[in-house]
Order: sequence, then structure tokens, then C-alpha cells
Amino acid sequence: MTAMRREAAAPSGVAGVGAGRLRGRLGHAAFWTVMWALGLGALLYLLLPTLIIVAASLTASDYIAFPPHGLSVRWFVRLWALEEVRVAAGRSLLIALAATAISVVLGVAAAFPLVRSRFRGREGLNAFLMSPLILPSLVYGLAALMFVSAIGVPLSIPVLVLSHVAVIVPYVIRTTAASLSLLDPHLEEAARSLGANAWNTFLRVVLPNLVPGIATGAAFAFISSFDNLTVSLFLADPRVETLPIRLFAMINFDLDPAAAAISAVLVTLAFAVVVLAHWAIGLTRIVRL
Amino acid sequence: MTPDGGRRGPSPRPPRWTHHLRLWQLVLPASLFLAVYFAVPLVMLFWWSFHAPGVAGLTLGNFHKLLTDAFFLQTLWLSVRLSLEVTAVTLVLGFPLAYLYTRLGPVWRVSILFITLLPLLTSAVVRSFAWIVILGKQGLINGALVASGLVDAPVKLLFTLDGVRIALAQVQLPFMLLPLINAMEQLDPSLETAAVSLGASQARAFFRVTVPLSAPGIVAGAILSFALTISAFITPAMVGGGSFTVMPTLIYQSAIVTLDWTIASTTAFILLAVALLVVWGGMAIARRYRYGPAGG
Repeated sequence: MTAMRREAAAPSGVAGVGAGRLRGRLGHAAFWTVMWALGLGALLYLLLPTLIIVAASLTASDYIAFPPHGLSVRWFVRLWALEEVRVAAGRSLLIALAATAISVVLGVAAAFPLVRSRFRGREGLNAFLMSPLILPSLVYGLAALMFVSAIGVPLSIPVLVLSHVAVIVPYVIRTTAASLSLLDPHLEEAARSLGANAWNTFLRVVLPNLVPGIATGAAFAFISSFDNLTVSLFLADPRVETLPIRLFAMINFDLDPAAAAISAVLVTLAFAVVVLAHWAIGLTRIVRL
Repeated sequence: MTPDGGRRGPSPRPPRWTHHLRLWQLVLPASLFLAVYFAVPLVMLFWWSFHAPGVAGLTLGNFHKLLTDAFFLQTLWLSVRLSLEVTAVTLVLGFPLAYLYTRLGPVWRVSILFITLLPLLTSAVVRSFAWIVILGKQGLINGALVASGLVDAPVKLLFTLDGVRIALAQVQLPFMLLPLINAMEQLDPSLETAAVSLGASQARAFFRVTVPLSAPGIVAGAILSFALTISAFITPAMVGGGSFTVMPTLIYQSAIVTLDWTIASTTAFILLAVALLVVWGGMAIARRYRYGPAGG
């Protein structure tokens, strides 16, 4: 577009300019062709596994096939009959809900001083609180296992929940802090000067404005815990399987369409989290967090 | 003058509890929790890697043992090489998409972000499983290759390094894209327009103006992509199917299978050290870019 504007303004009639203009236009077209080809290729590449796994779960055959042989939801129905899967899913749900609840309490509280107070070492503390996002979760799983066995605590569901909290609490802190920093402090001043006390200001003015940020952080935290395999591999009692551990074992044993059905359920869950995040905050703003 | 005279002001007397509780103290529960349940375990891990059974005091013996072991060095090198290759692929595919993102309208933008975030929030087990289905002998890729007549017999992709490269690059692409989009969004598109109107070709303007100015995003994305690839356990284990060993496999095997925590923690220490080295190197490059070519 810009190149065309430039050409319209350029004086015509000189042969050299004409050849240059043609070369420029060809280069322009080639450039955008390459950009679009790579860009659309990247989009397809990102999307392909999701599409394949959802399609494969809808197969009517006894084995995994793509394209699926006949459409059916029989493998989803079958999931309900697989007791190990049902128990593992219930356990993972419980762990994820507990870990998310603890993370929301710890994370929302921590977000306030990180945004509103000025104290020494605030930047460093913020980096420390975010560091579980960067540390390989496999290394953390190993470290936590060593720690738990050193203090002599047997592996149990509460131990697993706390290790999940350590990995997911940064999501809540981050989204809450981001919402809080976008909130106009004059709003609180106005509430206070109109007679509201600190608690009322917090509960009726500040908190309602933070709900989208907290909800998004909680949804990210929930799905990270629900899908977590690497930390759970170290800290779950071998007799106490979570859903990702069960799924991992199922796939390593055999390519069962039931595993594809579980995967499709997990994809749907991820889909729901992205939709929630878009609805609550907007995807274009989430990128800037 | 009344005794109350000095107190006249718009703000009412704060509730009593605020005398004792300062706002900054709200950060304590999360910080203490992470200090005990995150920092202490890591310190313990480092502590373990400097101890050997039967040796009193600190020792570098574990590091000496691993870093002189041919198999370990081969594994370390494979991990580093694989991570560099995957990072390069994510950059080549991610940069054009991030560039298109900054030039397109809101509907495209939301669609791109949706497609980026969906795999990010999908379990790595699920994505690796999908790649097993795609890369298999009867999978999508081999089906297309055979149908098009490019090959006679299915190519072995599953349980090979190539298959792992393909799957890992898809898993890491969102981590490259998000920092890139974030950085490129802050660039003024008219800089490139100006370069073009001054006679540069579109490609030249792109490579000489947009790419150097996006260096902070490239470095951030590359650091993230490298650090996450070198520590990826699930995808190499599932798509590689045990046909080769990377550093995370080694950590898992020594911790869970052979129960040698000394070797596991020393391997984890070396993995973190390599990742940190790359992060520092990347940041040094970023600084040079900020004050070097682009700034001067």
C-alpha cells in the first residue's frame, strides 16, 4: 500500500524509474507472499495437534485413526465406565480446586503491596514471586521430593496440593497485580472522601474491579494444576494417580481411543479458559501482562 | 484554638487495625510460603549436588564424575543442540506471524492470540499424544507423503530426533510468539514506511529496520524458548519413545528409576547452570543491541 502511494507521487517518464518501480512492486509482492506463507503456516502448525486429537477422539473404530473411521461418541461414553480414569479425574479436580483456592488467597493478598506500596526490595521480591514460572518444573519436582522426604513427611494429597500452589501462585499474582495497576487510585480516594472506611472501600470499590483479573489468573492456575504432570510424577504416591499421570501411562502403553477422548476433554477445558480470559480481560491485553 | 484544631482534614481517622498492620505485610504469606516450599527445596537440591555418599564435607566429585563421562557429555550436547535448533525454528515461524499481527486488524489479532494461547493451555501430554498420532506410520504426514507420491514407503518420524524436533517446536512456538508480539507492538510502523519511501525495498526495510528494533522481543522469546526446551521432559519422552536421552530424561531416570538422588541433583544443577548461562548471554546481546548498532 505504502509502496503504491510512493509510486503515485514519484515523477514518471524516466525509463530507469519504471524498471525500478516494477522491481519494487515484484519485491513487495514476494515479500508479502513469504510473510503470509510463513505466518499462515505457523497458525496451521499451532492448530494442527488440537484438531487431530479432537477428530481422533470421535472415531467409531477400536483403534486411533486419522481421518476417523466413522463418527461416534462411544469413546466418551466408555470413559465413564473406566473406573481408574474416573477416580483419577476426580482426584485431579479436587487437587486443582484446592491449589487454586490457596493460590487466590495468597496471590491476591500479595498483589496489593507489590502494586501499591513502596518498600525496599520490592522489585527483587516481585522477581522471587514470579520465579516458579521460569524454573523448570521437573527440577522443582525433584527438589520438592527431596525436601519433603528430608523433613520426614510422607507423600500425600496435601503435599501434592502445596507443591502445585508453589508452581501456580505466580499466575494469580501477575493478573491481579496487572488489574490493580490499571485501576485509577482516584476511585479509592473518592470513596474514602465520601465516607467509606478502608474495608468498605476495598470490598465495594476495589475488589469488584479486580474480579476479571483474579478470575483469569485463577483459571490459568486451575488448568496448570489440573494438567500438571512433571511435579506430580515426583510427588504423587505411586498408588495415587492423577489424571495426567493416568493419561501418560495409557498413551505409553497403547494408543487407545479412550486416551484421545480424555485429551479432547482437556482441550475443551483449555478452550473454556481462553474464552473466559478473552471475555474477562481481552486477549490483546493479556499479552501485555 | 481547640485541641482538635490540628486534626482538621479531609481524611477520617484510619481504622485501628491499620496501626498495627501495614499494607506491605500482605505480601508475607505468599513470600513465606514460597521461601519454605520453593526456595528451601532448591537450596537442598544444590546442597545434595555438592555431597557424595561416604565423603565428609563438600565435594566437587559429582561434577567431576559427570563432566568426564562420555555418555553424560553426549546427552548434554544433544540437549543444547536440540534446544538451539528448536529455538531457531520457532523464531523463523514466529517472527512473520508476530509481524503480521502488528499489521492486521482486531479480528485477526484476536484469532492469532486465540490460536497461540489454546495450545499453551493444553496439557503437554495431550499435545505430544497428538504428535504421536500425526507422525506415526499411518499418520497424517506419512499419509500425505505417500499419497502425493513423494515417497514409496512411510518415513520413520515417530521415535526419532526429527519427530521430537517437529513436536517440540510446536510446543514452544507460543513462548516465542508472545514476547515477540509484545515487543513488536510497541514499534512505530511508520519507521518501516519511512524506510520504504526513502527508497528501500520492502524486504530491506524489514531486515534493516523492523528486525533490529525487535531485538528485545527476539532475545526474550529465544531465552524463554531455549530454557523451556532444554528442560522439556514430556515431549522427548513420549515422541522420542526412549530412542535417545536428553538431560531431563536423565534427571527423571536417576531420581525415580535408579534412585540416585546425588546424580539427579547434580544433573539438575548442570541443567540450570547451562540455562542460566544462555539467559545471561542473551541479555548481554540484548544490551549490546540497545546501546550498540540500533542506538548508535
